[in-house]
Amino acid sequence: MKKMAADMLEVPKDSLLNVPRITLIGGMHVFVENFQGIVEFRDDRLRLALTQGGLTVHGRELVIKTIQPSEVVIEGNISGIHYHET
Amino acid sequence: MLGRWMVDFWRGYVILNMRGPRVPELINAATARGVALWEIRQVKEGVYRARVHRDDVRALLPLLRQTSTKLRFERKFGVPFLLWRAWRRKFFLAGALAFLLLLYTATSMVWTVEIEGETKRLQAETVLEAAREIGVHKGSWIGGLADTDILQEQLKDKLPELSWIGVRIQGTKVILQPVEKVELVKPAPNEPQNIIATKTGEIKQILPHRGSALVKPGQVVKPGQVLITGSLADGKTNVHASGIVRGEVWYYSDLEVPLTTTVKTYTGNVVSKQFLTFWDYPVQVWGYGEIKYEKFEESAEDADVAIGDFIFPIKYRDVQYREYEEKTVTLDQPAAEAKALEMAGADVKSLMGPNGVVAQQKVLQSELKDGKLKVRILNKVEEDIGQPQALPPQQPPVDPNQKEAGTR
Repeated sequence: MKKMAADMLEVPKDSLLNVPRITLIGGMHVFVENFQGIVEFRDDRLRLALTQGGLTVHGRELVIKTIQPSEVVIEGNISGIHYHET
Repeated sequence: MLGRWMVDFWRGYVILNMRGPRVPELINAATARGVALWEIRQVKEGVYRARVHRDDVRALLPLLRQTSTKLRFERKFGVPFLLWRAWRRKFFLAGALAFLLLLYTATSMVWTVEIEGETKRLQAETVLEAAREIGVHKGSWIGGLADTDILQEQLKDKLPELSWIGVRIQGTKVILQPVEKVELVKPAPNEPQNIIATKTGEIKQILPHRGSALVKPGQVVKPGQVLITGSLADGKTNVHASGIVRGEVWYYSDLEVPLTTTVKTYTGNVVSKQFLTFWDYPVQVWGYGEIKYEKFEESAEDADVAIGDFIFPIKYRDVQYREYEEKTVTLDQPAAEAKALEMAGADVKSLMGPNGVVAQQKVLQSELKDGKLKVRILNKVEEDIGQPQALPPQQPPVDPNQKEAGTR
């Protein structure tokens, strides 16, 4: 229903739908909106549960810079991100 | 970001050390309850470090129990913790504050008033007294003083002898720099006067500056005799006579010179001992040992023991023991006469005027008696014998040397 409305009004889907939005800035920052929670947190690997599927961040010295109910900022030497829909 | 840090610092935050396998779960739970954690990192397997606001810690505690995570506070930052620490050390803080207050008070007071530069006629105490009257003295409040240019004006009004006075405030020191007015040149005295003789003597030289000479070189004059007169043209004009009159004056000296004298000579050997004297009771502190000298002289020097202006009732005494030898010297007659002449010369110097010169000395009589030489010596001295005397002439001044100076 919402998706149809978004298509019809030609607005970005993430602003209406509760879908995750991932922003990667260089290899330094990852902003994740609409995430559900942390599944695994290690120095070199961080797994997040998203509203749909999940996200795995690989790297070194990963730090959760800030965390809010729907938004998380991850910092570190990021070598890869893997998004998977399940 | 900096603004964020300042807010965190104001609220106060702690670095947490969380230990347990379910820390990610804890983070999720905390976030869901609005407890903001930040800078979360894994230190090692199962150990995490994070920051949390001080006022959020309480909300975190039940979650720790639920996730069986152990918590340790690593460090505390921020204003609330600083305040807490300050409160715990309130007496120290009060001391520090008192010290600052004291320092502030001490540095806002005048401690010294100094005078820079030399004043010839004005006493430094007079300047300080004037400064005290306008409120510049030890202990006065620097903030309460007027501007330096106003102080300068006030001081100048107090001290009319000054042409200018500089006032400078340097820390707790007030520096006064007085500059005296140049003394007015006194007008040359112009009252009519004569130059008269003060002593009996033979005129050697007469140089009238004003007035006319009444005597010639070679002439013998008596005390009170007019040498240069200021009365010209038979008393019609009177001038301020001046000039130089030098005459030869004879002085006789009768002396006795002992032929044997003992002379004390120091050998240069010194032993020193140091004492501390407590209310005049000396306690030796250094320089032990006997003095082996046969004849020695003792001289003590006391120094005050002081810290700043505070003088202790203890004195430091340095005593020097100097060895000396005594020698007996026997003079023969010529040597004794030479010594007598020397002594007579010194004797006469005290009798004659400042510009006098001993021209000639002569031994009139010389007699050896009882190991002593009795001599009579004639000293011929050239000196200024002129003295001003106001016109009309008053009583001639009494010659103090009339008895010593012989008559011709």
